[in-house]
Amino acid sequence: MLLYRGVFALGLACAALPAVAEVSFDAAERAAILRHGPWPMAVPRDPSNRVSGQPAAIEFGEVLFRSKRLSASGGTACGRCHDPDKAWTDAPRRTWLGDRGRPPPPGDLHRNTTGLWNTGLARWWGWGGGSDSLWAFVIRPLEHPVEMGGGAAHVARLMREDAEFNCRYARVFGAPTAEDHAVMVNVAKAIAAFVETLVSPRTRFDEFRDALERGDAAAMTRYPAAAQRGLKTFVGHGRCSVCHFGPAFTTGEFADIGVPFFIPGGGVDAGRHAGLARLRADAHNLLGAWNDDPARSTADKTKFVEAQPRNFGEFKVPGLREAAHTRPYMHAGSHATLADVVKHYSELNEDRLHADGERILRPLKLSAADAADLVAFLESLSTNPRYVSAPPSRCDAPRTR
Amino acid sequence: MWAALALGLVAALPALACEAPGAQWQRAESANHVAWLALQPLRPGVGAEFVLEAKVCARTGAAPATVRFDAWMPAHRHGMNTRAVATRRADGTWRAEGFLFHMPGAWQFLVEVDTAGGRERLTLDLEVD
Repeated sequence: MLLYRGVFALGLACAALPAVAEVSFDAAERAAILRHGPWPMAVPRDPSNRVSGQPAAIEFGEVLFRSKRLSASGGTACGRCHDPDKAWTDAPRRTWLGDRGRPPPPGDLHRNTTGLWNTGLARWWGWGGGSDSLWAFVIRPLEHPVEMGGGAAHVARLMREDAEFNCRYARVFGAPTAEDHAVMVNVAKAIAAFVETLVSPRTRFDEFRDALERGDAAAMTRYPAAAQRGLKTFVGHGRCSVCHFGPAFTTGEFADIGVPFFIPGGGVDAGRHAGLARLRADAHNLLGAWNDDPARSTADKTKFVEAQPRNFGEFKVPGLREAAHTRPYMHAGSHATLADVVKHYSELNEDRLHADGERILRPLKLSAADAADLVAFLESLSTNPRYVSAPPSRCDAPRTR
Repeated sequence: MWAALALGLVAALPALACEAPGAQWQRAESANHVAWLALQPLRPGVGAEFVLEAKVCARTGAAPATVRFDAWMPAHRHGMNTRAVATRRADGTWRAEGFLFHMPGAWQFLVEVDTAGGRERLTLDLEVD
């Protein structure tokens, strides 16, 4: 279903270039680089979602994702804000105006739309981590009056009364029941089954990382020298890889990086602090009855997570793959370009940070050339793949799973 | 994945009949107590929940009835994002659930034992990468 076009064009072009000067990496830097792979990672099936990984559910989920009819007005689809052609974001728009173009209430929907590449690998969803599963996160826009605006009654009616939706729903879940909310949760689980298949492709960095691992010096030289220098900063004195850790370039947790959390128009975004409150209040969290896994095998994170004062102003550490195409950046879209992000870390205001001990974040004080190298490295984590899916199969009558 | 696993040792302590439950258990000591600790899985990665198994012995007298288990990053002076919950089995060993290293670096396990003379802390250092 998922095809990529033109992904490796850059890599092939680089292969024809003469060898560039090699950047040396010490043992610690080399180990840090290798921890950012191999890629791609396999996305594990979500046991809390009984249709995770099922082809019929994935196909149904993509149909739902693209359908404007899920919204109350019939004018908005998930894909409006998570546009496949914009790395699953609404870049460069910072916030969304809502169904029918209505502006959100003050203080609401002020956060930057996140991309969906590799979201199936996450531990928490939302900038504050208010959801502990992808399907629970999908329910939020379905219910939000300003986003999709339809809610359970609208979604359930659609599944019962529209022939195609009814057919596809029945194929995956059986005939829709009379309980609207249960139907909507199932719809969210089908959408999640689709979204968790969105794994970003290999990049120029991955070719370099694998060449480094196998000691292939010739292949390593195909990676631009500027990106190599930026990588050295990233895993070295920049200490970026402490939080942008592992193959997906994120620990999946939360950090305060000194970005103001005041909301334009009034109020503050409490970030993880508010996210934990939302998580605990959410009937769809993994400790609740909507979890399909009787063993609650993925629920420990929710059971044991602890709210702490430092959570205030912490936001989720985003993965960096395909980040070049998800501008703007930060939880409120306050930084327009990757260069702006690098400048933020280079000129970091330490007074904004809350840390009692050794600071993880310090102003990097990068020269213009060093900053450009770091941007070159970040750009090397992106390919801007074109998402192309096959037309969905016909569904004229329900089939058994 | 773990670069090192070091013990917080107290020198010149009297011998104690507190045997290691297995080969993978690591020892920590304080003035009046010894703890053997093991992780499940043995080498948990960043962002993965794990369980801490423990056997805590007093150098004299009965094993402590109240023990707390935690982990933190001393250099950064912050703990985990989770609160571990410990239960004591019938055989006196402990199982603490809810551990998670949310970032790489130098972590330290804390085993706190309440005694009549006050609280004793046993530590076990490890590098998580």
